[in-house]
Amino acid sequence: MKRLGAIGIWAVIAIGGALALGKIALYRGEAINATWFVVAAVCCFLVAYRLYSAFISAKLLALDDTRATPAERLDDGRDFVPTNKWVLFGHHFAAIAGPGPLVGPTLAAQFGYLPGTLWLIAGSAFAGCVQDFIILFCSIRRDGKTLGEMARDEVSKRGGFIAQIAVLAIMIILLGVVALVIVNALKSSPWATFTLAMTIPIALLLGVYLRYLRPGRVLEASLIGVALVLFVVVAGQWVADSPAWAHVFTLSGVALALAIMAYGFAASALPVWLLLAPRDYLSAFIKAGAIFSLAAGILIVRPDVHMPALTKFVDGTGPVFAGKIFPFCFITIACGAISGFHSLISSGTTPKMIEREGHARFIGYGAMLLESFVGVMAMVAACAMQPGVYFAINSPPAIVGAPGDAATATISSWGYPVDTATMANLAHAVGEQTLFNRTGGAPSLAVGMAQIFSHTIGGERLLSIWYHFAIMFEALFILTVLDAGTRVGRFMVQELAGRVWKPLGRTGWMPGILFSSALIVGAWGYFLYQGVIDPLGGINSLWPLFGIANQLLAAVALVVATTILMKMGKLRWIWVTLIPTAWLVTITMTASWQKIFDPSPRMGFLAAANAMAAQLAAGKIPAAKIVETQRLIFNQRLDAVVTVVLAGMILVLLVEALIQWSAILSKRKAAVLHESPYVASRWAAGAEGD
Amino acid sequence: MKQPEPRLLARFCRVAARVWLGIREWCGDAAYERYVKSRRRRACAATVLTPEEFYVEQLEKRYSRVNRCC
Repeated sequence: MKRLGAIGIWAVIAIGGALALGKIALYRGEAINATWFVVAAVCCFLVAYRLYSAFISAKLLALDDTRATPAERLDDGRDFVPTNKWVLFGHHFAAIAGPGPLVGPTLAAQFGYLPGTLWLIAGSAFAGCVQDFIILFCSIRRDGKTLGEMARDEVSKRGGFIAQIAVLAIMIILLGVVALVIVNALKSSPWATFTLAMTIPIALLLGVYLRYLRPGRVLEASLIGVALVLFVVVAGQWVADSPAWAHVFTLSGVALALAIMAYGFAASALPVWLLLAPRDYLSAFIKAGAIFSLAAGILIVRPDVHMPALTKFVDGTGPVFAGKIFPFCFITIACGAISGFHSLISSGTTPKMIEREGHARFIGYGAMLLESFVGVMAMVAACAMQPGVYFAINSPPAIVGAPGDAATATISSWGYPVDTATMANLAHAVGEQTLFNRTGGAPSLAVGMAQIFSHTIGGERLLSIWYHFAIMFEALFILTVLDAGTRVGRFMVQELAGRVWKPLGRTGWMPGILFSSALIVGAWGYFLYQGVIDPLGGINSLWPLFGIANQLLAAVALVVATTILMKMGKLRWIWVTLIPTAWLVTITMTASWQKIFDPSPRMGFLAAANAMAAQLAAGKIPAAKIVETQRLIFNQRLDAVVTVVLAGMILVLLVEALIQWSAILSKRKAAVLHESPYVASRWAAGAEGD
Repeated sequence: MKQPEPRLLARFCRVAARVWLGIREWCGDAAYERYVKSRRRRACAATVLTPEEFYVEQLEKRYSRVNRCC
């Protein structure tokens, strides 16, 4: 009877999900309510968790709660710590949740709400969650080894080296691109710049408090910090209203880029307890609060989604970024559906803290589902505003014309009506000088979030406060990735440099710290700078590059997972990882090819470089712009080379894996797994399956 | 006014205590207590770090590997 009841409940959830999905897929009216998105996502995710993750647990991985995890066997209270599964879920989610699932869907909204939403739901269930879950499992069985170590042990030594280099290269591109998102959000916005700048002294204050006054009392320090951050969000309005102070905090793109580079360098070189860690604590609390509030806001307000299901820009002519729906919808969404970076978390801290193997399903698969749900909410927030407003915020002037009547006339001519007065009123309401040409996704997401929040609490009066709260949340989120990433990049550079000259590898040697920090900041800073001076806004070329890099890393992780499953003798179910791998290789190779060789200058790096070079040769570039144009030509060619290198790395790894797979399948080589030996769990008697 | 059932109140207090502990563990507040317990369990109390030492050591380790995603 109980079983029948359970079947009945799951049938209702499945039918509800199918109906909601059908509604958002087939509806072609003027506006559709956001509730359908929430119902579709929640029901599909519940069904995916209940059925697909259970199938993977049982058939593919055979999770074994009688087997002691590394946290149990090696428990030292420091690295290896058995942790309650709900607490570890929170840790893991806080680590994987970054700005990508917020920004990616916002940008992909240019294709309409449908393609992005479908990929967020299907991509996470069949690819992203699978990757996170299986890599977590593989790492648990190998005492918490990293992805690079597993690639070296299970694929080949060369595969491991490629994975290590790929991680560093991808991190550099990632940091450059996310920094560009902040610059575009803060440009000419004294309120937002002041708020974010003030988080630095607040973090320093917390750092001293946590180090000397109340060591390790993170909760109380974070609550003090959050209160101070909320205060500076409000105080930012006073700064913006004061002509003298507003002038001080009104910075150009280049000035902001330099300031962010200086911050990244300081966070990497200063003691970690002083700046980086306290900022991370602040970010974690604000992140959790803002995501929860957005979900609650959408459920309370239930806004209408005004963006059509599909826009005319599926043909690749979109103003936000160039590229057709295939493959660029998938490349742009990136982290919301599948993120290669998650494999680094799944093979880092989490496997060392998991109490039982059975928890891997809830933590690995479940946390990614939640991340994807955040992506669906970001899609709703972006699509809830009028499409004309969305395109006015996200389009660079080189595409739509000068901010004002020219831009609104172009956007209206596409069938998305908007006028200059509407944009001016909205900018005034959110406390900004202008909302035209605010590319990067963050400002439009902040407008969407602010509209939802203000309908929940405060109405129009609080719109500007909510907008700046959302901008601060996004920027804080991104700065946390930036400073933590720069520091990790520094360690990677030191490890590689130490092979050339040993002292450089010593992580406590100050000249080595300064040198490697400068090198890593210089590398991502270069991409940031090229984005800032790009006449198309930078996001047009750099976000796809980031997406390609991220999805390539996911392909690396899935290749490693497939090899391990093959060695485990799970050939019958190998499609679980093989299909997502093939899909990722297809989309990344297609996107790489198009970004390099497409004849359109908006799309292809080489075509853009050649078009500018032809203009230069024909003397059509004014003398004052010659140096800048030469730099732009160089940047486009550099982007082409970077794309070739990234694609080349995955192809080499793929060939390595194919050789390995062929040897295993033909039995020319014994399938040797590098798992830790089985040790019975002391808790096995009381073990509960998930 | 009707008093809440003592068993219900006790259950509520237990759940609240678990949630509070979960929050403290999630944010790292309880890390040192857990570490000390672990050292005592392994009978190596002589080498227990001070709260300051433990806090800095934990941070150094955590931020020397990828711990935040895009």
